[in-house]
Amino acid sequence: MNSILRSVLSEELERVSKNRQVYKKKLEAFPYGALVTKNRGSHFVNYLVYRKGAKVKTDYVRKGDLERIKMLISKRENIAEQIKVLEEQKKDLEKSLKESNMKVAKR
Amino acid sequence: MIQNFKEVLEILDKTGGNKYVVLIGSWAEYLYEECNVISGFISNIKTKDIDFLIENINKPRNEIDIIKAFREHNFEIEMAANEIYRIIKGDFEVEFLAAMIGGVYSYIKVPAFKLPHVEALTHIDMLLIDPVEINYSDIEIRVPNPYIYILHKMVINKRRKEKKEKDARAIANLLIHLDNIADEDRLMYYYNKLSKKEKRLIVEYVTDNNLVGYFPRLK
Repeated sequence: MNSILRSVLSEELERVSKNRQVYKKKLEAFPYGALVTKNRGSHFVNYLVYRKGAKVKTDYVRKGDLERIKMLISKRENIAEQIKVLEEQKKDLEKSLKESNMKVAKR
Repeated sequence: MIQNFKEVLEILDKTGGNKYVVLIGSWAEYLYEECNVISGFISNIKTKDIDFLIENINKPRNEIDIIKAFREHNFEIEMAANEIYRIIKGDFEVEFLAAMIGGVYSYIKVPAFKLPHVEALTHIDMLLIDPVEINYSDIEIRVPNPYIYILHKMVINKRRKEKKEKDARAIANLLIHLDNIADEDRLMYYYNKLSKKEKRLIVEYVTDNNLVGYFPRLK
């Protein structure tokens, strides 16, 4: 019974780890940072603010690109959230697998 | 587990029943991965239930004795008080489902499969829109198209109780792999085919779960 449990846990751990890698790779394709709107006297201007190494960069966002960037940031946030979920799952699975292996070693 | 799944498909294939059902649930996700329906997709954990949605309770015209076929392959057959058969092997269970007709009866007779009752569910008929036909281990089987599969999970999410979170993870996992403009178009194409109520439930789900990035044209 224990070996079946360990095999299920290992299989699940492998799946979670693989998915985590795939998500991280996906994340790279999305823009980093946050959208900031600044008042420039008579009009508002949008910028994408992000960190590159030690520097904080500010890129101008054209009006026509605004919606698209908003959507991309929303997708990125969603993926980042899912990575967190997978990391928690990974921790739990590793813990369960360790406990299961210890039980076998004690016998 | 996979062996049991293959055996179930083989039994259906032998009876010809595979042509009249659509495989739904987590095993459909498994086939999205295994048969590369969604490139790079890794499915969530598979459950011990294999669910099939019966497309038309009166087809095929030549009845298939599905219970007899499973019994011949040493599946345990039990009948619950509501006259729904349970088809079991070890801790594996095969279930047949159908669409609710008229929103009244939660069980329905399936003459084509000689089943006195199967569970009938609302909104499940969505999964019959443009199913994908795939070949798995030389067996032809249909699975819901992934876009409809996602939308259906969103529609039923509120009634899923303890399965809510698992479903939410499945939706997120699928959407992450279907994130280009062509996929957005397909999602909208199938969204537009749905009823007002289904559309409202999807909008609620998308808003509550911050998934607007995948549905930029949703109103």
